Amino acid sequence: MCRVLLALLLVTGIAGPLGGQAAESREARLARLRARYAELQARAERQDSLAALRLLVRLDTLRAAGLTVLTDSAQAPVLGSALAAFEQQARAQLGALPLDLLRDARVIVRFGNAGPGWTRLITEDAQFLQIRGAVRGDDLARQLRHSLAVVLAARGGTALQQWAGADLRIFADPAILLEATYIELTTSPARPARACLGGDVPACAVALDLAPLTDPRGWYEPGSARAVVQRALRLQTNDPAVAPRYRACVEDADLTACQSLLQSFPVPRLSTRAAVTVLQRAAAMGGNQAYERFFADSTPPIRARLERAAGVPLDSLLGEWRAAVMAARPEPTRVPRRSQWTAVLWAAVFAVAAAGSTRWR
Amino acid sequence: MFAQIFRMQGRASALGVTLAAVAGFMVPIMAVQRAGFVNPSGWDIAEMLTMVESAGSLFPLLAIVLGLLLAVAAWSPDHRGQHVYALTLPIPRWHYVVLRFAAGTVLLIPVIAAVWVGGLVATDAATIPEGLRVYPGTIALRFGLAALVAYAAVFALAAGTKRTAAIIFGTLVGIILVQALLELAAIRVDVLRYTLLPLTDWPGPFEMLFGRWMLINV
Repeated sequence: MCRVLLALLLVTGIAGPLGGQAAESREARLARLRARYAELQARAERQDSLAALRLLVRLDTLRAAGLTVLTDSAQAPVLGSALAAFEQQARAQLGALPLDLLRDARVIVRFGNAGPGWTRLITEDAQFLQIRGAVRGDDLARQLRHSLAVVLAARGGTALQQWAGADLRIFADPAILLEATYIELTTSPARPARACLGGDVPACAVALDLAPLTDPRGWYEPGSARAVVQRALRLQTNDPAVAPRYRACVEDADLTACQSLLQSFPVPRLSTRAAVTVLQRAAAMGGNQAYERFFADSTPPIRARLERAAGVPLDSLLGEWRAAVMAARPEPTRVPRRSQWTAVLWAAVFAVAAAGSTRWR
Repeated sequence: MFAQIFRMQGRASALGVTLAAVAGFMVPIMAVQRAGFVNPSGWDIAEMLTMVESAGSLFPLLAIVLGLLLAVAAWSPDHRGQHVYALTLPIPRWHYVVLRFAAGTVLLIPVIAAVWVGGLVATDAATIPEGLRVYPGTIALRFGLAALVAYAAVFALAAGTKRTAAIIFGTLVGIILVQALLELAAIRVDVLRYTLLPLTDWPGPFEMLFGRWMLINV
């Protein structure tokens, strides 16, 4: 299409001087040609971005883990070995891949600086990786895993993106995510999170936004509600829309005032990182086909998809998940043995330096 | 000989050590109370832990002040008397220095004990929510090591000549000035990262003084 438009431009440019040459001044013709070029250029940019890029560079198409990976031909051999590692890791972590969902998903890999032809490729359907400097296979494979996760999140439905985040960190180390989730659960002021920490598994579903809050007492204990309002709004006490209710909540312990202010706050659910740990646990329980089942149909609610992936009811899944989170509690803080010895050694060094001083010589 | 030197240094630093011990006892109690762990009305634990962390920054300050105080108290009688007393003693100079150093080290113990006891009292009086732990022993150990290193460093500086002290301080000031000049000239070279920061990270001497001092944590 782009070639047609450029050919049209050439024809127009050639035809112009052949006809009406005497009637049109050079300046007017140039202005007309420039306008025509701008119009065609705008049309070209709206065309298929790959067709535009193919005019500038020779592209190679590679496939891995259900993705179509495009790169310039000169770099294809470099990318090939990283793709093999990426595919192996993706299959090891995800099991059977939801290939139907990944159909037509593209990742464009550009080595070095991206010119205008490349930057036009950044579309909703294409992930764009720009690699500067020396290429390391494991780093490249990591970026490709991230791209795969983003594509899965984008195609897995809006509900999934809202629940587990648009980056869907399913390839992140579960141990690290679980430890962070433990800290989040422990420090959350929300009532369902604290109940979940105490062993109430149905409360975990509420904390994870997998079930609605039915507790008439609301998301927070009265004291916690005051503390949250005070922390969040202490710099807005001059705002006339907030000040009266703030004072009633913080100074007079008026719970109704606190709850009216908290209504404008986001729901204090656990983060998307915690949500990803639930998905990872469901996949671990559900076996090789778990992710395929999860992504097979994006219309049911997330809890139904998790149950289908894990092959167990949600309460059982969350019971296992909570046990994994509790087991991921960080080790108690200690002064490392090496730091203790180092401090003592340095004290001895300073003492020796003092003993060897030349002050009295 | 050690007993006599210890008595002398103890008398010279008694007031300072007492004040430091009182401060060491009060800091954990203040940290826990200010954070809201005593008679809590609600749990905004992230904020409470932030307050524990900010109060915890008093521990390294106290360690530095204590080290400075004991090191100065160790040498001030000799500086006043022009070292005449030390020079008349029938022991080698290095032996005398070691006795001075050891006396000051022993004087650290009451303050370390006060920090430990204060931490125990503070955490015993607090309501610790599920999922959190208390670390009075870890804080006391870390405080003790930090105070020991601070005392040893200032002791060595005070035992040296004025020229030595001038060289050390001049070097520190020079490094900071160089960094400032480089930044003014918009030259992106981080001199501090390669010179001073290694002192504050393992295996540097002042690692104990830096980092988070969390009496209560996950």
